[in-house]
Amino acid sequence: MHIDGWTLLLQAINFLILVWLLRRFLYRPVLAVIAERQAATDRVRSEAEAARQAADSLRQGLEAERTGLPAERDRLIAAARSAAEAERAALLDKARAEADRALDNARAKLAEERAQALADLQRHAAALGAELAARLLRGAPVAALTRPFLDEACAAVEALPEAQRRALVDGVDPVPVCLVAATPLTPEDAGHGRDRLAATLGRTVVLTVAEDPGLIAGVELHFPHSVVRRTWKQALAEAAEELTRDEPARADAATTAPARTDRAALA
Amino acid sequence: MTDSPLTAPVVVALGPLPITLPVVVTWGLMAAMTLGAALATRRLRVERPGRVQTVLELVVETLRREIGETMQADATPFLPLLGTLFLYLAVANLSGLLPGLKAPTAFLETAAALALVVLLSAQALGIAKRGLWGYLKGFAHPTPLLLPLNLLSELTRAFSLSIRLFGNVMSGEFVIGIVLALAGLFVPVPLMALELLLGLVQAYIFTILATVFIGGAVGTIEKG
Repeated sequence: MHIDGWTLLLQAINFLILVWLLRRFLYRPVLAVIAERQAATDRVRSEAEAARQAADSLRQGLEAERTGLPAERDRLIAAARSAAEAERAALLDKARAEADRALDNARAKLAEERAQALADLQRHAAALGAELAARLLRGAPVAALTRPFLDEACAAVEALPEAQRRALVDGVDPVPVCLVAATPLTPEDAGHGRDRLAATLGRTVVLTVAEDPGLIAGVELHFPHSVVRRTWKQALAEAAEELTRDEPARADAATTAPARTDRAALA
Repeated sequence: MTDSPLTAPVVVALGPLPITLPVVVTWGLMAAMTLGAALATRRLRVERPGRVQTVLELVVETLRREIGETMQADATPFLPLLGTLFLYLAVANLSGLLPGLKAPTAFLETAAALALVVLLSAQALGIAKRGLWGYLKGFAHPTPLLLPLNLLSELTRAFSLSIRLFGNVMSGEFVIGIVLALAGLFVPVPLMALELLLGLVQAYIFTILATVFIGGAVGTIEKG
């Protein structure tokens, strides 16, 4: 048996060339296509896996959200209840405050009306009392009271401070003074009054005499700019005024009555 | 005097270089395989591959998977050598069934050349993978006393590869030729069908044994 060395060598070379040729024209392109398809498959698979994971996460989120729905509902209901309760309490407080305010207003108005009615009653009673007293006193024998009232009026002028006495005479001399009495004056009473005023004022007094039954009793000394009154008419008017004053004002008036009387007399 | 049927007939002599029949047939097979591969891989598509592309991918992927499972490693670097070995052996073995052709593997030179390529490739790949010293140490494994036997086994394995392939293919063709000479035209058809199967089986056996040799050389599997 003979082995041809050239054939052996050529066949070995032929095979190696065939290996290169098939590597170039068969394996490389086919393997490249397979690898490319595998890569595409892997890519699609990874995308599908990513999509599946996204779907899973979304599903888990939805489940968690669905699980939390009752708690959220309870929380919202509780919040709504507490808000409604707070609003109801606020409305009640507001209504209560408005009712209290209306009640206070009504009470104040009632008190004011009552005070007004009481004041009206007092004024009416005072006027009625003064009217009654004036009617009763008009028929009384008041002539004998003229002299004491005259003395009292002169004493009031004497009790005035020096500055006020100067203001009475107003710098004139002789001083014109009108003596008004409720009853006709006797010449003695008129002379007595003139002398006493002249002594008090330190000037000559020209006295004129007048009569006014409306005074009920007493006298009025009319100076050039002032009048000194000592009459029952004035006393009744002051009494009526005092009765119609408020209680505190009336008490205050009681403590300062003499001085006010003098000022009123001088007005 | 008649030439031995085991001797490769010279088709043409280029000076001192004789071009024998198996060489010429191999050139024809190489041209056909290369042209076929070039045409088949001309329009490969990732999406919706055609029938030819599907068959090509099936063949290449099957070869890669078988080689990888045998070597227990990634077969891609070894696919051109071992895959071409299988494809060439299958085509060459079956080419003997064509009228007027004689399988190149029915000549001892072709089988010996392939065995020699496998032997040298195993050594080269083993050295490239494990280094010269590491590869040579493998011959003294498990004991240096086995070094002569290991070296001898390398040669005998290549020799047995070539003899097995040559014997099977050559004997099959001889039997078919004798039966065809003695009987009628269609009598050897069952034998030809058997030869078809035997050709594929021999290609598979040769390739698997070569894969085992190379796997043992690069260290991915134990040497047989």
